[in-house]
Amino acid sequence: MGIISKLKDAFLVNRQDSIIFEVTQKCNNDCLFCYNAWKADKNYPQGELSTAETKGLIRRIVKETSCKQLTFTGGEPFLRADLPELITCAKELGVAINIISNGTLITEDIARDYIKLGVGLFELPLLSAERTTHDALSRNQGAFDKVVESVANIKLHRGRVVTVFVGTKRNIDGLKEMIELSLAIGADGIMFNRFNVGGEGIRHIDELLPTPAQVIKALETIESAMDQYKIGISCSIPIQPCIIDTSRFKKVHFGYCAAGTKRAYYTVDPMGNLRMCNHTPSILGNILKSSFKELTTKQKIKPFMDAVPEFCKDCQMVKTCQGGCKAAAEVSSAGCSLCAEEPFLKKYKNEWLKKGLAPLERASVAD
Amino acid sequence: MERIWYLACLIAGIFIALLIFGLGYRKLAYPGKNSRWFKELWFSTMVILALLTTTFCNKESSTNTAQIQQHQTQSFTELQKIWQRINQIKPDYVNREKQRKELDEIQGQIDALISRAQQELGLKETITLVMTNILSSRVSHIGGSFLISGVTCYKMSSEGVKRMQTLSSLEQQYALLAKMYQEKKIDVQVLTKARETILSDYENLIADWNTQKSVLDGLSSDEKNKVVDFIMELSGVEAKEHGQLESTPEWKAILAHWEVVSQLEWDQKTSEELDKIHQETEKRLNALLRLVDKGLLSIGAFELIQADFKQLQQVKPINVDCYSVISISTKIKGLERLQARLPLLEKTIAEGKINEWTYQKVIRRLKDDLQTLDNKDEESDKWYKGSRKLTDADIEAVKKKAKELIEKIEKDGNYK
Repeated sequence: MGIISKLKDAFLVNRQDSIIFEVTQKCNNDCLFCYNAWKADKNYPQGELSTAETKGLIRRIVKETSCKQLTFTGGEPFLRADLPELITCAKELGVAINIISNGTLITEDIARDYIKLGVGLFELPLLSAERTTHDALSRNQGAFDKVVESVANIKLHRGRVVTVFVGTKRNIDGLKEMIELSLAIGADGIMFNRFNVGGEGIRHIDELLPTPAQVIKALETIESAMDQYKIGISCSIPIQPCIIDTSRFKKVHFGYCAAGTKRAYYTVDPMGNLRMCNHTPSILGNILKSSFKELTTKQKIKPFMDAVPEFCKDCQMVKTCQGGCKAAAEVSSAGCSLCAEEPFLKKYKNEWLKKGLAPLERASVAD
Repeated sequence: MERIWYLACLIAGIFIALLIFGLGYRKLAYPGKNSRWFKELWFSTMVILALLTTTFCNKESSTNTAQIQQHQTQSFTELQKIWQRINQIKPDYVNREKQRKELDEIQGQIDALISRAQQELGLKETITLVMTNILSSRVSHIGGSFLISGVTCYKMSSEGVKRMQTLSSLEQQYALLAKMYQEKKIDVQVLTKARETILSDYENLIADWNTQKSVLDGLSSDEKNKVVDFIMELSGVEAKEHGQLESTPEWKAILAHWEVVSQLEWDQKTSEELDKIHQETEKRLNALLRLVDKGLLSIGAFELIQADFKQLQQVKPINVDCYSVISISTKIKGLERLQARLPLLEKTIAEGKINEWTYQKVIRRLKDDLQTLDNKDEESDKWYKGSRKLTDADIEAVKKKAKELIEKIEKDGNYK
């Protein structure tokens, strides 16, 4: 990190580590677990800007947030024909580029071209080592083979790629094989995300939400794989320590909601609408019309940051865990309340606590 | 013990002081009465003693607290030392075993601290932090191939994903790749690309080593042998592919059909029966093309097989007209087959690889044809000499060329 960058970090209050930019709402997959905000809320603004306007939007985002990294996602970002132009524009502004894609469109030529453009990391879903399971969850026949080949294509051209496993009731038992497949084809890292309710996923909660026992087994698999293969696997979607004793898994990096901090992942949709994260459909405002500073005043983001379920208020872990994913709570609760309990917490907390297996003092309070 | 003596002296001093004070008081306040002043003196002494004892106990208590704090400080100092030690561990491939031992030792110290920390509140969280640091050291410095940091919900920093290749990680990857291919989780295209990447990573690793001369020197002979084995294993994937080819149903079917077609010269078939066989050949060859698409079979090898089927099927049915002339010269057939196959054989050799099955079935037929041309068969020679369009020199050139090619394949051993 250069001196100027350090000074910027020190003095720029609004500087964000990373911004997520949803370049399109179109997608050629129809994943059962998709968290796209517009799938949760049918009234969510639709459409995208022209190439010139989108480039203007990118400049605006980078200028306003002074972000270090811009993550292009969608929908499926590779469905935008002008993606190379947009990435070039962002690159010229000096930000690092990540792409989150469904991995079905990355041919060898595309991999080579985008790596040349400066894409630093590709995040692709790999939901199973079984074709049928991956294709069924993606609702796209042939998606599995394309993702696997995409990873190989990216690695062939010396790019960096992370495979993402979304742990649902239907595929979570095949995590070990997925890890092995990822390693075989050369993935640089693996992300384990338990299914987090949002978007299309709202319609498939019972079908997809894994049980705590399944998640525990998956975490054990992760720890064992880390030992066996000497790899780092992150667990990004918050897992409430009152449901699963995360302290047992000392090698796994657990991620929690970073909303409102410098490490937050503010999300901008194709029209320039700013949200607290990619899960929530709540729009703070349009970054083309107002400054990032105006849109993220304490007054505006405090309700999101302070929101904690009633159940969690006395918990000693509340500051870290925050009750889990607030956006999931928001989209799955009747009144769209940020303070509701997200489905994983709501469904399993009582059952689990009754068994007396909860590790925290919170358990005795609940009893 | 010193404290007890100090206390005893203090009490004695106070008692004497009180006694002197009491005697003076008696004279003034209670002339002639001994008992009351004496009782008051004892009472006062007992009160003072009680006060002193309480003070002393408090002192003892505060001394105990100080001891615990001191103990904690000692643990924290140990933690600090461990932390510093971990931070000094830098990636070092040659000394990796030594580093592993060092980290195990550190792990032992941490475990000891943890057991001590059961009684010492406030230490556990710090120790957990150190543990995390140790574990990340293990991952990034020693065996690790990956280091992921800075992860929050859904976001992954591109700077945080750093892949550290080691010989063992590449070997592990290669073994998994072979496993996935055998289990048909990946197709041959992915296998080829991933293998190319592993090989390239491996070359980079070697190049990195070469830039650090001492590293290569530091490799034991076992490790050097391991490197050679690994290279050989990587280059041997092609053979494994062919093993895979031979287990495909398309390949098995063409083998079985080959046996049928090979017998056509000797079996007597009607034109209807031959038509069926030709149709079957067409079907089997089309199926074989799928293996070419998958990269399991080279196009040159396919063409060679196709040409051989064509040659083998040039037999006349038994129900031909009685006036039809049938060429029965085996020498003419042999020469035609050689002429047809040689360009294809050259092409296949130019591609660099020819699989064993093709070698066995096709090249040996070339040898048979050469043998046929060299055989003395008066009846056949008559037909051969009467119908051939090539000069003796041309025929000898074809034979020479065929022998050279066969010799080259056998010598180079590139049929695997």
